[in-house]
Amino acid sequence: MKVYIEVTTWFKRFTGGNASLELEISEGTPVVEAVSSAGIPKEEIGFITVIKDNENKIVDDQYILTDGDRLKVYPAIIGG
Amino acid sequence: MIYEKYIRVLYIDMTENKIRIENRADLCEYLGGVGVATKLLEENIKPELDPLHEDQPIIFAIGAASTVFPVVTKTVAMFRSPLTGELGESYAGGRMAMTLFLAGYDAVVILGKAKRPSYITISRNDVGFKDARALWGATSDEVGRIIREREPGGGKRSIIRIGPGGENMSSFASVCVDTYRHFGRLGLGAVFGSKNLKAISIVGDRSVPIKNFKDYFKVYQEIYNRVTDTEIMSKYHDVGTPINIEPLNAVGGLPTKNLRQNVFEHGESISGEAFAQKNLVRKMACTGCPVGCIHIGQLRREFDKGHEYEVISVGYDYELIFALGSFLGVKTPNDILDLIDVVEQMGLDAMSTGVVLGWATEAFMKKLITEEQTIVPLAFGNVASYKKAIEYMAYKENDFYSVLAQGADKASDVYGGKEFAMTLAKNEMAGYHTGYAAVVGAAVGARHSHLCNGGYSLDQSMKEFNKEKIVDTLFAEEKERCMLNSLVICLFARKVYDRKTILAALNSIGNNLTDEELTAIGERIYRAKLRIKKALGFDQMSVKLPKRFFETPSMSGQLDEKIAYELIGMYNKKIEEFMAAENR
Ligand code: SF4
Repeated sequence: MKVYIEVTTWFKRFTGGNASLELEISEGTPVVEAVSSAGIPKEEIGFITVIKDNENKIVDDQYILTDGDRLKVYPAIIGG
Repeated sequence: MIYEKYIRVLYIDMTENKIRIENRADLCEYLGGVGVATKLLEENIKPELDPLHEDQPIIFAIGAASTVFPVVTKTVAMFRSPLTGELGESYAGGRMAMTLFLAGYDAVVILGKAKRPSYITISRNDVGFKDARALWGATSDEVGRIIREREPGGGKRSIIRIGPGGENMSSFASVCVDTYRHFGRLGLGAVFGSKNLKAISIVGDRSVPIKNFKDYFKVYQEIYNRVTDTEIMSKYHDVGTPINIEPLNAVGGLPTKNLRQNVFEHGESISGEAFAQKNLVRKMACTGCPVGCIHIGQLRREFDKGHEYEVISVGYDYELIFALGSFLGVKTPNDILDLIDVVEQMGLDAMSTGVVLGWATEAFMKKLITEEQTIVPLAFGNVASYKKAIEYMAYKENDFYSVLAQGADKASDVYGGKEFAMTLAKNEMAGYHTGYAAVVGAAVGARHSHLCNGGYSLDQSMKEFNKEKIVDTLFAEEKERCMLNSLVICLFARKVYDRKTILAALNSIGNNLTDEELTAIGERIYRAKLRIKKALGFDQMSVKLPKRFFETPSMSGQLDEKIAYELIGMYNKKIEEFMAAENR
């Protein structure tokens, strides 16, 4: 099945300069595995949201993707 | 003092124009930095006197590894805060730690009050008391420029100074350090003003030979490589802390319009990327830091009709964009830089300024205050009014602005609107509406800053809500940061400086501490801070949380007031046990 990932500018360094990607994954894949298979190191991931019913909702690392899901990946919050 | 078994303290008496130097072996058990500063504060503070009384001390301290290892760059300042009335603690980078180290002082204690506006020069062999009457009224940029021209010692020199906000003793006046760094929080600038102290210039010209260079350099290089070759620190240099705007806005944790909202509809236009693309011109570093996270944006400003423009360099970071951007509904990088520059020139803390103006805007909208009092119409996004209001606060233009200059808590005591005066134990909130750990963390933190225990970071990493875990983690982190700040490491590098690295660094310069001793030092410092807070009358259980925190959803969803108070109670119990354990 196919999912669509959008990343913020920071992550473009890991995705060959792409801001959006299409990913072919197998059923039952947790979202964090899908994002890391796109080249983004797990420790860099702050939040992942999935667009559902026109709303951007935060999902847990282990959220199981469904066909056609649209994700957005954000970096972790930094600071002292 | 590196390679010595004592802490070298310079005492400056501004009333008598006298100094003395003491080599204090007894302070070594506090290691340095915040440990030594806390102990010196405890010895010199006068709980019975007002925070701005001339007999109150200002303490500066550096740490046991300052300057000789990468990113160990900060100086700590301690004082009685005029904003909260209790523990004042603030950190600044720049060149100050390096100059104190090379001038041969671990700590400086300033007491008394000069008869007229003055500035102090500190060097290895001398302390000078100079007339600053001609500098009184100058902005922090102007005073920096004049002292640079007037005093010798460029390069290895640090000039710290106040603007009009400090002179007029606004409770959240800052002290500017080397133009782009600040002792921002809790009003050290006002304490300078109360002593007629406009500036301090420090020159360090000592050369300190490193013993056992091979061992030292091996550790130095390992740390340097981790700082520069890994991803841990690269974000700080690249986009810098403004990278936070995008994720916080996406997940509903960006305080907006006095926290009436948790998402800013113009978040994208003030993101770190937007600043980088439109305004970023330069990055700078504190001395001894290979990261360079200080982002400088360029602002082109019309100063007269007929296309007369000036170009100004303005430092920006996440907290400033939150406080003077989303929190005030200001929606472009240019407008935010414009406000930062006014705050900078007036010498105020940008975070408190934004949050105070957020309260004033809402109070004005709700007609608790009138335009006769505010002089200009306050409205979210109205940059022209905010620029004026910032100046009015710094100069205490009228009765209303005199009250506003004492912070949002005080202003809401006088005019009402307590439920939307966004302070935690009287200190204005930081830019994270992330959940319980951020709210409770600042309420219980020794100085009520988000940096006491990093609650906002805990909200982000915590997978499942667990009350005990929140309280235990905040408590452990507070103690650990007491230890880290006794070294005065820039906390951005806290993941690089794990226990193993700290011990290797200290051991390589002849300080053979153990892991257990580091833990004991952290605990000793925290206990001393709690003793000071108690002596100053602070009661954890009397802290009131503004309702707004529980009305506007956070990143972790809607917060429940009852749970927040319960967590504060649990934390209070923990510190009572912690203090009792010492007495047993
Ligand atoms: S990371 Fe930034 S604030 Fe910290 S020492 Fe380096 S330049 Fe200074």
